[in-house]
Amino acid sequence: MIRMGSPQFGLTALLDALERELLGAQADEVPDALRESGQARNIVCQEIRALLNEAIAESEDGSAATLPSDICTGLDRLLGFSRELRPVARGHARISGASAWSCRRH
Amino acid sequence: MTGTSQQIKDWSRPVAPPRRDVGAALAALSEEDLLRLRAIARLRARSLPPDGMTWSDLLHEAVLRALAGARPWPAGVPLLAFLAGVMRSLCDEQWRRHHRQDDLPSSYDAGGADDPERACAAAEALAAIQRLFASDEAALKVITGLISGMAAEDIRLHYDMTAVEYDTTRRRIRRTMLRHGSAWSWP
Repeated sequence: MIRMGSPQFGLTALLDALERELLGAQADEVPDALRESGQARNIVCQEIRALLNEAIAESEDGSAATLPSDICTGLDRLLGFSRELRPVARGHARISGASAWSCRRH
Repeated sequence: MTGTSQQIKDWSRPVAPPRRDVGAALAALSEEDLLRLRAIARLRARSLPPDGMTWSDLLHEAVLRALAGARPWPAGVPLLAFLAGVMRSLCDEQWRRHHRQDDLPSSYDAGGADDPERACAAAEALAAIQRLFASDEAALKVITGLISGMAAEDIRLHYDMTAVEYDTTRRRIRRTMLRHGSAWSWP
């Protein structure tokens, strides 16, 4: 249980509230804000679309890399090794969470 | 009689909710929703362990889990809200993993209460978000109220804001988050 008034409580409360704001933002607010930032809307959209397509393609590969988290946690505890050592879809092993994810794409 | 036994058979079958097609729903996302999704991923990435995933890793992993059915998409929940929930869970999972790697006490696993490292990271993330609104006094008031867990009406009354002032401030906060999403980074 996170204590009220702790930084963690504050961050959780703030992120949840800001997330609700983003989910509830009117459709015209989103591109307007992007325009103000000087970023090209189509480039940003392509970037996200590519990220989603990458995940869809990886999922269609039938990879076993993504198991339900509770199964993974159970396996980790049973087998006594870190999940990062399991092979992933594109043939490279995850050495650690940080290094594997950062080698994917940025 | 045959009809009745068939009916009983039908009733006794486990009723599985229809599987919602995450892939098709992702493909059908509008440009606005894509931008919104990016902003949510960047926002949620604020609560990740500082040396871990990036916002794009977080979004990628959430989408993978949703596609794999590891996290079932409940009926009636919009896709973006569902993915936001998956990302939120992933952040907690990353902290648990972070602690396991560092061999820290398992009590930290239960939501991270009293975890000094997570508290420190949260304080830094809060400071980064507050810095984003440093020049907007009204926004800072709303942000401070939200951090305290206050409801909209309480914030409004506490800071003596009219409904219009409050709504205008919220709109500015949304735009700032959407605008500056890409500039956020760990201190």
